[in-house]
Amino acid sequence: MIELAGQYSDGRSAARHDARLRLGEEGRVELHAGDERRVFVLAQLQISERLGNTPRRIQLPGGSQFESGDNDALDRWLATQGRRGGEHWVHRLERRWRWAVAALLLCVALIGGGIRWGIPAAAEHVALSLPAEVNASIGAGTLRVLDETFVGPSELPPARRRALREAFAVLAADYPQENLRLHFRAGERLGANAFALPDGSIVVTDELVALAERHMADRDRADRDRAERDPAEADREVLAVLAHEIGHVIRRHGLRGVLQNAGVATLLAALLGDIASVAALGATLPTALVHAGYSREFEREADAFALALLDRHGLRREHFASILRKLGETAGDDHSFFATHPRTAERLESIDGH
Amino acid sequence: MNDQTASDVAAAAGDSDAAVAGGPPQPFVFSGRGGEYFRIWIVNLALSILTLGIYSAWAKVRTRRYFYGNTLLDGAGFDYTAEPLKILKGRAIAALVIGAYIALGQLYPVASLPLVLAYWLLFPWLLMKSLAFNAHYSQHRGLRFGFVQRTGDAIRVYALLPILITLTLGLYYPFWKRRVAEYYVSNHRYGGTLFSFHATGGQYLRLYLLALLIALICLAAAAGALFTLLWLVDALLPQIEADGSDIPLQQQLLQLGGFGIVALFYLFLLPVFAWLRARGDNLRWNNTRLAGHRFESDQSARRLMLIYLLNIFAIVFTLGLAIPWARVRLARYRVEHLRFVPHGPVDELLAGSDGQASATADAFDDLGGFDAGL
Repeated sequence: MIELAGQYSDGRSAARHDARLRLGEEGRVELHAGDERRVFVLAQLQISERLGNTPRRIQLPGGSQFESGDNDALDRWLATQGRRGGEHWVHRLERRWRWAVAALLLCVALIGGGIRWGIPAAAEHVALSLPAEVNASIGAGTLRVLDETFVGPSELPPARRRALREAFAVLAADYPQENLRLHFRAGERLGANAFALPDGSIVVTDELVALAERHMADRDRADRDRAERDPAEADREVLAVLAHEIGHVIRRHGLRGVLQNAGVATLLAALLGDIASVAALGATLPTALVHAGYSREFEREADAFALALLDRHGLRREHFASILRKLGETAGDDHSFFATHPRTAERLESIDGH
Repeated sequence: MNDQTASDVAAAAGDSDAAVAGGPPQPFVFSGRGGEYFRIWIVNLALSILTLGIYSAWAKVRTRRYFYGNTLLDGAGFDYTAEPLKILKGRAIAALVIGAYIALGQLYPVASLPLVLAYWLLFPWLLMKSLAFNAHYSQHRGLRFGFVQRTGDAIRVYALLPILITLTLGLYYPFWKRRVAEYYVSNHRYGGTLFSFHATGGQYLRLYLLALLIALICLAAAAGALFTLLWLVDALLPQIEADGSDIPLQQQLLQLGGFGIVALFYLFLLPVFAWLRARGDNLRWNNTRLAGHRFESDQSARRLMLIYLLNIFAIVFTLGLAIPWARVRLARYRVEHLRFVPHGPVDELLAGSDGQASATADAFDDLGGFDAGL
C-alpha cells in the first residue's frame, strides 16, 4: 500500500482540498478527500507523464483531478502494476546526465555534419539545377555599386586590354551557354585583385596586371637588370587568375553562398528558437566563422577548376603558382578563422600535387 | 474594537481557504532548475534533429509543461495539456497556408495584390486560433483557461488599426499597443470568468515616450562609441600600412570593427528592449483583473537588462550550452516578480461551459482549434 499526499479539485471550481490517494493491489485506487471516499481502478485514470520534478496530474473520471508532487512514490506503485507508464522512455533519457551528454554529442555531430556536408551538398544540388538567369539575378547591380565605392576606371593601354580579352575569349569559349564578360578597373583600395559576379562579369584590376608583370621578389633578384618582362608571359599569369574566377561563375558560388548562408541562418533560428532575439549577437560570430569556412571551400574548388581549365588549354600551371605566390607576398596571409581564402602555401601545394 | 472582534470571529468560523484567499498578495513561485532543464532540453533537441523536426511538436509540449508545471501559485502548478499531434496538425495548416500563398504568387503574379490582402486578413485569424489553442490546453487548479474567439475583433486590432499607425506617422503606436494588450487580456478567461483590462492610452503613451527617450540617449552613446572606434582605426591604420609588413593585422582590425558595430547596435538597444519588456509587462499585469482579483508585477528594467546581458555572455561563451540556464533564470525573474492579490475567496471561481474536459476536447477541435505557432 502506497499513500500519495496531494490536492483534489473537482473540475467545477478553483477550490482545492488536501487529499490522499491510496494506491493498492491490482490497480485499486482509493481517494480520500475530506469526508469523501471514492474508489477507482488504474484503467480509469489518466496519469500525466513524468517531466523533471513537476507535479503529476491524475485525471479522475468525471472531470475531477488529483495533483501530487510525490513522483517517486507514484512511479514505484506504477512499476508494481506492471506499467512503465510513469517511467516514460523520454523521461528515462532526460533523467540521467550520461544520456544528456550522449544527446549533446549527437547534436554536435549532426549539426556539425549538417553544416560541413549537408547544407553545402543541398545548396550545390539546387544551384546547379536552377537556370542561369536565377544565378545572374543574385549579383544584379553589384558592378555598379563597386564602381561607385571601391574601383575606378582602368588605365590599362588598349593593346594590353585587347590581348587579355582575346586570351580570355579562348577560355570563355568552353562555356558558350554562359554570359562571361571581362571588365578592367583600377583597384584603388582593393589593390591587386580579381572577382567574379554571379551574372558572369569578371573584374580584374590594373594592379593585378601590374603584379603579373613584376618579377618574383627573391628568386628573380638576379634578373632585375634584365629588360622588361615579356607581356605575353605576364598575361598568362592574369589568365590563370581569370580561369579561377570563371570557376566561381560556372560552379555557381554566388548562388550557393546565398543558399548555404540562408541554410545556416535557418538552422540557427530553429536551434535557438525564441532565445534568438536576445542571443542574435551571439549568433553573428559563429555565422561569420561558418561563412568564412564556406568561402575557403569555394576558393579550393575554383582553384581546382582553374587548373583543369588551364590543363585543357595547354597552359602551364606554373603561371598560376607564380601569381598566387606574388599575391601572397603583397597581401600577406590571413591565418585567422575568419580568412576567406585558404593559405597560399596550401594552395600552392595542391597545384604541385596534381 | 467590537467590529474587529466580529470580523475575526467570522474569519475563524469560515472556511480556512477563504480566509487565506482574502488575505495578502500571494507570490508566484518558479521551481524549475537549470541542470534539470538542460537534460530535458538537450535530449529533446537531439530527438528533434534525429526525426528531422517531427519530434519538435513533442519537444514543444514537454518544454511548455516544464515551465508551466514549475510555475506555482499558492502551491498549485499550471499545466499544459495539448497533444503534440494536434500541434503538428496546426503546423501543417500554417505551412499549407504559407505554401499556397507563395505558390499562388509565383503562378499568378497578377493576383498578388488580392493575395496580400487575403494574407493581411488571414494573419489575425491564425493568431486568434493559436491563442485559443494554447489557452484551451492550459489549466490551473483543475480549471481550463480559454480565449474568446471574436474574428471581427482580431481583424480590427491586427489588420485595420495598424493602418492608423502609418496615417499618424507612428503617433498612434502606443495606443495600438494598448489595444493589442486589451484584446489579449480581455478575451482570456479562467474557467468561466473573463479577465478584464484597465490600462489607459495615456499610460501606454508614457511607456513609449520614455522608451523613445532611452533609445535616443542610447543611440547618441552608440554613435559616440562608433566614432571613437573609427577614429582609433583611422589613427592606427596609416602606421600599420607604413610598416608594410602587418597587413593581416589591418584585415583583422577591419573584421573586428565590423563585429564591434553589430555588437554596439545590440548592446545599446538592450536598455530599450529591457525597458519595454519589464515596464510593458508591469503595465499589463497591474491593470489586469480577474473578477475582483488583481495582479501585481514589479519587474525592474535595470535588473532585466542585467539578466539579458548575463544570458547573452553565458550563451556566447558556452557556444549555446547555457541556453537552458538562461531560460530558467529569465523565467524565474519574471515569475517571481508577479503576485496575485485576491479579493474574496478564489474558490468561488467556477468552470466555464466547457469545464468538463472529456466532451469538450473534441468539440473544441471541431470548432477548428489549432496552433499555427504564432
